[in-house]
Amino acid sequence: MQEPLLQVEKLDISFGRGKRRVRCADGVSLTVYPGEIVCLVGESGCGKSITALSVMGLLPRQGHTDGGSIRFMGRELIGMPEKQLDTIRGRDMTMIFQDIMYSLNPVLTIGLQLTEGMRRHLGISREEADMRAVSLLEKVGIPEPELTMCKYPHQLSGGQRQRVMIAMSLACDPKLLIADEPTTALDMTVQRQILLLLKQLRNEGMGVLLITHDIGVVAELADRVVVMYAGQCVEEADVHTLLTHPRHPYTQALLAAVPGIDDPKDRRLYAIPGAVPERYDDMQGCRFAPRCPFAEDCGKQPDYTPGKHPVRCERKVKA
Amino acid sequence: MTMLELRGLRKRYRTGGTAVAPVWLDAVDGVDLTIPEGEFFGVVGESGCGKSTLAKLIMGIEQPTEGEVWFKGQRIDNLPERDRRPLRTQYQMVFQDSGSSLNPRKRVMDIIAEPMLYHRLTTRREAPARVAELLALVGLPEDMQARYPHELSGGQRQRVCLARALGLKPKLLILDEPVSALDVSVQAQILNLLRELQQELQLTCMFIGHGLAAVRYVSHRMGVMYMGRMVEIGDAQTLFTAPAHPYTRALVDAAPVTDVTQRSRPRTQLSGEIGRKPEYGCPLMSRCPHAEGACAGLSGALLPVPGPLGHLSACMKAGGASHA
Repeated sequence: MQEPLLQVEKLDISFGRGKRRVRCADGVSLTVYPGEIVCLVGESGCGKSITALSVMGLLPRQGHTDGGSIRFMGRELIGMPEKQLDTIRGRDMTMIFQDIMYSLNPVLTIGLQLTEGMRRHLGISREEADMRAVSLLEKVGIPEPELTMCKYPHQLSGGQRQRVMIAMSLACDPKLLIADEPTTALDMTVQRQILLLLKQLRNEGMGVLLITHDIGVVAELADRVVVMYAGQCVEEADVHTLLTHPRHPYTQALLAAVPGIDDPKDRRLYAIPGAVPERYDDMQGCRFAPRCPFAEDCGKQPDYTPGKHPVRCERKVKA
Repeated sequence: MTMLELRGLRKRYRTGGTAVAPVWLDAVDGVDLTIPEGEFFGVVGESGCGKSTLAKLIMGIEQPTEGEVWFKGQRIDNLPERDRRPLRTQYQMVFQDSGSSLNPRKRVMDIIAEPMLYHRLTTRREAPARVAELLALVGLPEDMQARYPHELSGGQRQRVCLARALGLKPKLLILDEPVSALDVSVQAQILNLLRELQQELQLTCMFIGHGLAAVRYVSHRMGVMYMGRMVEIGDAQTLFTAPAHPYTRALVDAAPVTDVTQRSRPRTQLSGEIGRKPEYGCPLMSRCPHAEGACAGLSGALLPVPGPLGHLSACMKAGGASHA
């Protein structure tokens, strides 16, 4: 068995202090191995982005990790001094964001932004960095890479900007790429190109943690899937098992809510009744129980032990 | 009866250049379309293909550069505002961003009642009862009335937008990406609601979106737009299973499919991204895997595809693309 690249265990994250403290991730566990795409799925506000940010050590100031561990290549990241974290972050572990508009500096050329990290982490000369940057742009499929080096972000299309972001994150041959909804802002045909690129990187041995709410993207790309609801992991399995035999009622409901491109005419989408609770950290028992069609005396917090196919449900409904 | 008819509709914007040498963009480039009463027509396309401009032209938010808009047998695009106003109650629009299309300083009841009061479809005294009725229609609890938009979730806000539009008892409802900003489970709720309302109220709807499956779920007939043109129109059930235009084929193939077993199916892949439109011929030419010399002479007119009636495609290789 290979060593896991990233191992998050029982991670608790909360925002604010004292009375105004809100727990937004509660005992999150996930593992990413090299050469594997792990998808973190859930609706907005379920804590998936916060989990990713805390792995990168990029939590906003009000946020803090209360417990658990984040191990990256065998080293504990929680409590690691910033200086030491800086040698990992952006080098062995990088992140790309959904918001392609605000992720690039509008007043610096693409070339300068691309080489900045390389020169800092690898200590190479400007010429070497430029050459490397050009080959990276080529790799992510940017036409006329030399010309693009001198361009500014506003001169690029959305798809090209996301490619530049990916090129930037690949600058120092990272072992792990965290992608937070990388294709949500893109058009479908461009999304497909980016997904293929991620797949290619995975095949080259990189570990990818992909955050998405799009079940379609999961079905196309994932090797393993972790489903989150209200700040907790509720189910984890390999992609085939999860999509064909989901065991948690939330996963089942989520899958039944997605329209397919070749559905029969009379199919009716399953709409999960109610809404995601706004505050979920003080809930007793199963957090999905108020919306769950199978709920009955689910007042006890179901346990969740990582394994082959863990499910956070007392009933463990059969598909 | 024909509810809406578009004849050679065109909208040209100036995107740059100088006064002597302006650069123009045809956001909508000669669209002909007929929507019969009671139909749910879906429009799909990528950003910048002109689908939102099309909606604005129908609503009269933008004036067409060329072409005509006919509504229930009457030409409406050249009507003066005074004559247009009484007609406005009959066609209404719901926008994508429910957050910015609701007045943040008004309560839900006032938001829904305002257009009805303006068009004298209700009185101040009767308004509360009408509002309650409409809230029930879109599935919102009555105590939402006194809330402000910021106190509602995205799905609830979209329901308020729907209730506001439905208050005028429109015949035609134009929905511009009403579910794109919503989570899957909420999206399912709104899509189901739209389907029910359409049947219940005998509405004619035009649904604009970029999620193929979502648009298909509610539509009877669909049109695919690319660079301002309708490139394919057909029955919603068959359009995606047997697309006749390579662009539709590429869209279908690019759409992530929720079935894992379909993962490695063969697919058409378009190269590059939407660029400048060529002056002549097929706008997809530079990206199309099937392009050949003759495509440069294509007029862009929709031609019938062999097979089901009413299936039209702008590709001269119509029918061949689905097997390629």
